[in-house]
Amino acid sequence: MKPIDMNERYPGYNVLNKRNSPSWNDQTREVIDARLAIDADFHRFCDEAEWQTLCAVCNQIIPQPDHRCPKVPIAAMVDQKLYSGKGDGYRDARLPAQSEAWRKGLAAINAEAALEGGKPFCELAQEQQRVVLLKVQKGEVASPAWEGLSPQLFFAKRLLHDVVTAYFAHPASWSEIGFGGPASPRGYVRMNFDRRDPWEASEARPGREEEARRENEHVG
Amino acid sequence: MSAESSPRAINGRAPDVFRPSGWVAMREYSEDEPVDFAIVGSGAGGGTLACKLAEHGFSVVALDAGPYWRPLEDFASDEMHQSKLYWTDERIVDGENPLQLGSNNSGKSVGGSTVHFAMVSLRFRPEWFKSLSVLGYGADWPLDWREMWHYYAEVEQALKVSGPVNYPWGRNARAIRIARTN
Ligand SMILES: Cc1cc2nc3c(=O)[nH]c(=O)nc-3n(C[C@H](O)[C@H](O)[C@H](O)COP(=O)(O)OP(=O)(O)OC[C@H]3O[C@@H](n4cnc5c(N)ncnc54)[C@H](O)[C@@H]3O)c2cc1C
Repeated sequence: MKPIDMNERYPGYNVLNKRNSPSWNDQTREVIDARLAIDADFHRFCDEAEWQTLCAVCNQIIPQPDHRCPKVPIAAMVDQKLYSGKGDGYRDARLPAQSEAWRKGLAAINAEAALEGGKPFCELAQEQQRVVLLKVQKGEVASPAWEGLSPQLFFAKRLLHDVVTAYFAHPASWSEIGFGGPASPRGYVRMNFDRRDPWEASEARPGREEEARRENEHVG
Repeated sequence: MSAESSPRAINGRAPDVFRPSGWVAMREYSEDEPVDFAIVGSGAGGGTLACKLAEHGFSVVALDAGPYWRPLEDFASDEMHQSKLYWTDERIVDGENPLQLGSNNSGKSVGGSTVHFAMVSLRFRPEWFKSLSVLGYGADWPLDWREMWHYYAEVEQALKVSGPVNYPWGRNARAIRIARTN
């Protein structure tokens, strides 16, 4: 499966070009710089087996374009959240607490992988990994490791929630979807339909790709 | 000094929320001094009540589990960063159809959820106070809308609710014209 490169839709747009504009202040620069400095290999919550599984799972859920550099360190961001112990403020009663759900879920995904292909999840071929995750998503699992953890709920409410939240908290994904990112103190001015502030991403609707690229190069 | 690491509202002063590093005077009572009221939670309800009681001359202590922010220096323009405003202790959602809540359902700081609420709070229309007799549904309120009008104004001021200067319905109603200027 070829990863979708949404940047085609906002060609040339890079939210970080606004870093020194009035859309950011010192506090914002500090916070986003720290996020950009997250080491993609750093993990404190996961042990080695969990980490390998988590990295492979993140790759399957949100494949990133090969040429993107650096990639969003999704696994490291999920690990950071789990290590901090900071929750979401609510928990579905059918799922165990966040950290327990993840440990159990990652182990169960590995156990399911062993049944599917005789190897840990991270060593399976891409297509086999996909099959395993589809089974988890649909609840069509065979491993007893799922005892006490609903695979569908784990997939939909824990795994996707944390992976997607991490991904979309990173400037690389903001550039991809044309999101403006930090907006204080400048904010936005042109509020009418079809109006665009020069510091907003320009969308390449069919036929205006080059115009969008030119506009995006001046976003700042 | 970071609001997260140590309490700021001490030594007779509290952070000035409108000025970086600024302070405003704050009445403070020693641990063994009796007070008229101790209020747990300084959000929309507790904070407003504490203020009202103090203005009427009572001695009041307000307690809050969260920090005392100065938004201008403590907040970055970033959603993940601002999750530090949320009360994220675990709440269980259960039942046949467990709701998916958001993590921003309530706040944990001096000011409570008003630190990140959207400042929109619409007044009832006069006819809604008599919805059963006028509109044929619901129930009539035991009071007249005119009795409520100055309370609305008061609470809108206290909570800094945003909205039109002249309310489009009720007393002094004026039609709003939305100008289009492009
Ligand atoms: C994102 C968001 C947007 C909103 N938008 C609007 C809007 O546009 N219009 C509107 O009318 N309403 C809005 N609301 C709702 C409104 O903010 C709340 O209804 C209101 O603030 C609730 O007031 P409260 O006093 O009950 O609680 P809160 O304002 O939440 O205050 C409770 C306080 O108690 C403290 N506390 C709790 N337990 C303890 C303890 N054990 N010890 C010490 N302190 C404790 C907390 O830290 C908190 O500061 C919004 C809420 C949110 C979260």
